Amino acid sequence: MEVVLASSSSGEGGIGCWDLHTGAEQLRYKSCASPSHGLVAVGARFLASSSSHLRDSLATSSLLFWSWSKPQPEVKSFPAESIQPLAANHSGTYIAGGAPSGHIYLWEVETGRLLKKWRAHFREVTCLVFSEDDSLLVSGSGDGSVRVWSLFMIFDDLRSQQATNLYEYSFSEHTLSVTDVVIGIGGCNANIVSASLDRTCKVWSLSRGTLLRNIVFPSVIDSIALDPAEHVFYAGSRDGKIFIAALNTESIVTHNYGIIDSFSNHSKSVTCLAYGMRENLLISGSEDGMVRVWNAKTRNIVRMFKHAKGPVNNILVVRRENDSSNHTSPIIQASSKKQVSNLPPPLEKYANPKDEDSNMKTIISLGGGRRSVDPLYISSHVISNYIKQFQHEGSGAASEMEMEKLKQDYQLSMQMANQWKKMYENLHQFCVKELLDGGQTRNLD
Amino acid sequence: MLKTVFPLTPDSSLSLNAAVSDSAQIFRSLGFSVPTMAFDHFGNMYDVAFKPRLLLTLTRDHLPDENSPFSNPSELSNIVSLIKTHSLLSESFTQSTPPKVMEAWKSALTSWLNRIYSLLSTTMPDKCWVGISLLGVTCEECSSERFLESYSVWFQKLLPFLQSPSGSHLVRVAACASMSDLFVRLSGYPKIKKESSSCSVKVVQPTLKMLSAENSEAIWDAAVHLLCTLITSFPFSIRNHYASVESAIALKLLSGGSSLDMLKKLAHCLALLPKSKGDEESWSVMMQKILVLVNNQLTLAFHGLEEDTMRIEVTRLLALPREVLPPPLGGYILAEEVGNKASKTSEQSLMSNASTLMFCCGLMLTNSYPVKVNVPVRLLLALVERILMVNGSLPQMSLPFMTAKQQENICSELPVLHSSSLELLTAIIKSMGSQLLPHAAYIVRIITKYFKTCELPELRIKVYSVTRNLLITMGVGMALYLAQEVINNALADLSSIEHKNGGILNGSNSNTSARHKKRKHSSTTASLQEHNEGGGVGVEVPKNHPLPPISLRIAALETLEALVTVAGALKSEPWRSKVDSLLIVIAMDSFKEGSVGEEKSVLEPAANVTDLQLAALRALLVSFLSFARVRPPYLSQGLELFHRGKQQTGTKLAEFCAHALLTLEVLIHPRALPLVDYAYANNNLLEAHSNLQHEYFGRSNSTPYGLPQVPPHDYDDDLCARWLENGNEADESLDKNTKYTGEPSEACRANNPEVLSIHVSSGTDIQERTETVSEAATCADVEMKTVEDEINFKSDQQGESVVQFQDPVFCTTNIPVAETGSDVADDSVSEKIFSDSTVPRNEASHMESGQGSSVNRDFKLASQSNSLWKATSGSNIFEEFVLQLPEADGDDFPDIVDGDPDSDSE
Repeated sequence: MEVVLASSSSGEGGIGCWDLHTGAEQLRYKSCASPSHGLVAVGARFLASSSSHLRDSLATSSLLFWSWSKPQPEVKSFPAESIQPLAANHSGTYIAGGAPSGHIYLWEVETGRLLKKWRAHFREVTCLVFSEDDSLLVSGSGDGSVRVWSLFMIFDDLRSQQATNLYEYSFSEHTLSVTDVVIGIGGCNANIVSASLDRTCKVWSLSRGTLLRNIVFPSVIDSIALDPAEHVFYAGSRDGKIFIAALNTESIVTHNYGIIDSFSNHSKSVTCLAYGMRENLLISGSEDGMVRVWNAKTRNIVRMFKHAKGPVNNILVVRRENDSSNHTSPIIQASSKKQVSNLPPPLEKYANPKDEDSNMKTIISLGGGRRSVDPLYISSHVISNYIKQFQHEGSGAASEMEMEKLKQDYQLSMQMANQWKKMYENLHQFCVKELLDGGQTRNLD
Repeated sequence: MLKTVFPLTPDSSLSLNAAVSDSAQIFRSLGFSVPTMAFDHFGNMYDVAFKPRLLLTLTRDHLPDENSPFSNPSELSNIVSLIKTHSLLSESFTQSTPPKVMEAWKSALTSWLNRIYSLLSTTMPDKCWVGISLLGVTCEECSSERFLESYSVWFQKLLPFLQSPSGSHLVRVAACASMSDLFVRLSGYPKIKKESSSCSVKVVQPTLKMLSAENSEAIWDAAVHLLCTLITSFPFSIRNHYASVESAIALKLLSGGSSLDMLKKLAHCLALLPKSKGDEESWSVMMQKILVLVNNQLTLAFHGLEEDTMRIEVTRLLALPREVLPPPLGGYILAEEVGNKASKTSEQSLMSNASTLMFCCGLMLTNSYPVKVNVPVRLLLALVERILMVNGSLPQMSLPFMTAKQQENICSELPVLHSSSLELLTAIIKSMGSQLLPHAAYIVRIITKYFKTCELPELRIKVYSVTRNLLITMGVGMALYLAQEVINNALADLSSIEHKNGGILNGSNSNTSARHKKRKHSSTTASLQEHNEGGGVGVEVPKNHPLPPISLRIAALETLEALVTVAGALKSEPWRSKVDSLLIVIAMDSFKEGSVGEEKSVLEPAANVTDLQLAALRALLVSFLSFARVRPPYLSQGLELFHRGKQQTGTKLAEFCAHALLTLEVLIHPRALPLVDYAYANNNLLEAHSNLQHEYFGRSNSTPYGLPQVPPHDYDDDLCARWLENGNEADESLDKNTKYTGEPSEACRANNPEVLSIHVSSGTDIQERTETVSEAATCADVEMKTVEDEINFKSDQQGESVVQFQDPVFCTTNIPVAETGSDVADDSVSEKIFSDSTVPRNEASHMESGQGSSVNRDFKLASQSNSLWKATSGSNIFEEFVLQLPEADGDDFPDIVDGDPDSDSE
């Protein structure tokens, strides 16, 4: 089931969830006021969002986890700083969060351990995204820089001490705060597209580490969505238009610096965009609280979801498994009933330097849903095995069987011999008797 | 007597009596019953009626019974194969099966079973064996109804054979196998779980007894298999005997004397054992126990051979996780026994125990497990490192304490131990997946250290495979780390070619000089020529410097392939050119060796020359595909190789080459096909008014909602249009490059009417279309209509769309025209074919001028000719242009930074 999730900064609406294909509204997840880029689906297993509440003039910030089936957040964690952008790798084993101080935090989901925390930018981190193969992390910042981090470098203490920079690339061509970053497919040849308050979108080459294209828009772009074929990208602007900008379209005669087209039905600013894979649907969220689903080809609105009064600021399209508890064996089902939740523990606030041995172990699930189906029936195999042995005479088992057979034969012949013996003796006695009797009678005669 | 052919094989009966059988069928279909058995023919070999007949014949004539002797065992395999091919025991009826046939089949099966029962009750071991084995086959093959009906009878019949201590080994092995099959089948019916688990409980004890009492490996094997089946299918039955199963298996594992195969089976069973409990705790305890034991054995074996730091580290990590260590594997008594024995036993058996146990660890990591488990990654890695760092050399201080004999013993077994620890490393990588990240650096360090010292080909192959796994699982980030190490080692292993090659590719230590040399032969032909010259000399080289075995070279090539796949374009400058030239040289070499290949393959049956060739070509393909910036330097040579490979019909090589050529075709004719056809069918308004389109084109582009059904012509046209657009580009480049001033495009057109024609028919936007229409002499009526049409509804939809692109129907085959254009145009066209990179770059860097000029040009042309343009100028298109231009002017142009025309903008 492919669902659209939308959250807003106001917090009243919670996180709305709709089935993209039927349009039916699903469970609404409550009490969440997410900042922009603060909502992620962690490996399609559960939903996580950073959230900040202004209560009693004291900003408390937390990270909330929802399981798909319950509206209330089940796990709350309170990191050291208020985390804004969140990102999870594709398999859902790590969560990265960006802080206003410019630090990036990296947690292991399964244990909640804070594995690393490093100073990434001079100002707040505004957006985070994992690369296709999960080995790179791209971050955008309030200081206008976009940086590419290799997670290996981050984890390798030895090399990171030797290296001058932790990052692989630092792009600083944006003059104002970065509002969104996306990365395409293609491993090391991927393109990164970033949008900024300076009214430009820039396309960067990962393999070369250079700026490929700079596209100037008439107004600020807050969100970018890549067309899966990376032919174009969609840019949602503050004047309510969605621009289509060329990415890989050499063939199109470009007008206006790479902007191919634009369309709009938003009265207010477009705050977030997402692309639904199955049917070429573009989903946009707007400041007016509506979520619109567009047919990317015809650019007609296919569906509209009303989320809240406040601005929608995050949209996710998630392919959700129908029911996560289906595949599990009865043993787990029993245990999960006991535990109530199978969400991971809350994320830790600090890395624990004393307990350095804690990262000696890692919790993993073995084999996942994969069941090994071996050719389990063996008796015909055993038969052919032994027949082979029979044919190669002299092997242990065969000769043993031969022995058994011979023993049986031996016994039979013994019996036979005995019988013969008996018969012979009987006959003998009979003959002797006869002879003796005959002699006697003759004598008598 | 048993060697006779079955009288009723379908073929013979068909060929002999086809006519009769037809008539018999007609009779049957008419409802008449055919009275006599002898002429009761059936339809064909698929006919259901055939099956009971064959089964009966088999039972009657070919199975031994109490009286007739069992003389030819190979007959039995014939029976089994017939039963399986025709599924004679399946009793699978359809609706249309006549009841008579159903009855016949049922009775045939009953008589089959009766015969088996009677065989089971004989005292002759061979007949008994036949009965037991066939009962196992019946468990596998029979229908569900039959199985559910009689499994308890079968179970009762089989059980005595397991329990009785006497009896032939063969019979007991067959009983274990058949019992295991019975349980496998039973596990498929969760409804009768209660009954089946009560059965399974009865089996465990006798099986354990067999394992401990018997002395034949065949029986152990069968018993272990039965245990594994019980663990996976009926975990409950094992749970009560957990400790005794563990100790029985551990005893067999550690007591030595078993074959390698048997040890692996025992390890497999031990690794499965925690599944019977299925909780996190028992998995961890088992892992812990095994690791403790491995560590102890290693400490005994490596005494005096290793530095203390590694041992202490591993022992510390072992003690860490829990305060109380679990009891040793198999219980204290066993441990004591083993401990006593260990002091006496040789290093060899210690080390082989360790490698079996590590194999078991690897299985525990890769087998599935119902719950999440806590893997002591750090400990496992430390253990691997500890083993890999021991190479048999003696430290100075321990020289007096060890005899040369001891050292010999250890060194003879070390490769096996290293190999199993590398396997364990592979298992760790596989099971951890992305969660390996925090430990990745550690693994890389182990690998790099080991790579430098490792010399045995088998071990190097394993290291290569670990490296490949790392590269593929961990992606780009890992590749940045491992690249240099992989390159150095692969170059060393593929060095035979290097020697032949007169030093195109020197070893890793002379990086710079190699590259300088490479630069000198900047043209590929030069370096390849040199290689060809060197080829003759190189034949002598191997004599004092033996070629690395083919399998090692294959592994090196595969690892290079993985490296280039993952990180061919990212920070690869230092090694890229070296690797590319190496790969093409190897690939070309592999074709040259063709005739030599035959005799070599006899010597090296494991991996022959064709495998090497395949590996070389695979790596070559990847190296072509991963180029991001420049055209692959050896593309033409490579293409020729792929063509040659494709001609070797019927081989894997030919298959791969066909695939490679297809892939390369995309490289040669690059295309960026839009998911949504923006450019040429971007007429959302046409969509909205698809009725109009229907009238003119008779087809619809998409369903109203849902997956767009993009008709193929769109793609054709996209490609085609891009070709034609290159003609446009040619115009533009002419604009720039030639010294024509004023109206360059005009001048160009005047000179080259053909180019003009390209331009006219290429049609990338509506303006040009109007041109086309304006020069009505060359245009068909249909076009005219369409344009008018578009204009019509454009006026309906003002302010909605920005630019209208032409519907692509009219872009036809103008490619030859483009190629026969003026010389200049031709050049630039061909340039574009090779590197698509220039296209967007030109567009980007000349966006302003290009745009301006194109509008101007078009405007001029249009206004020259016809008033149609004026008609469209009233529409929104022109307005948009006018509106957009000032905006464009208002912006600072220098935002475009990278103006390098050779680079590519993807």
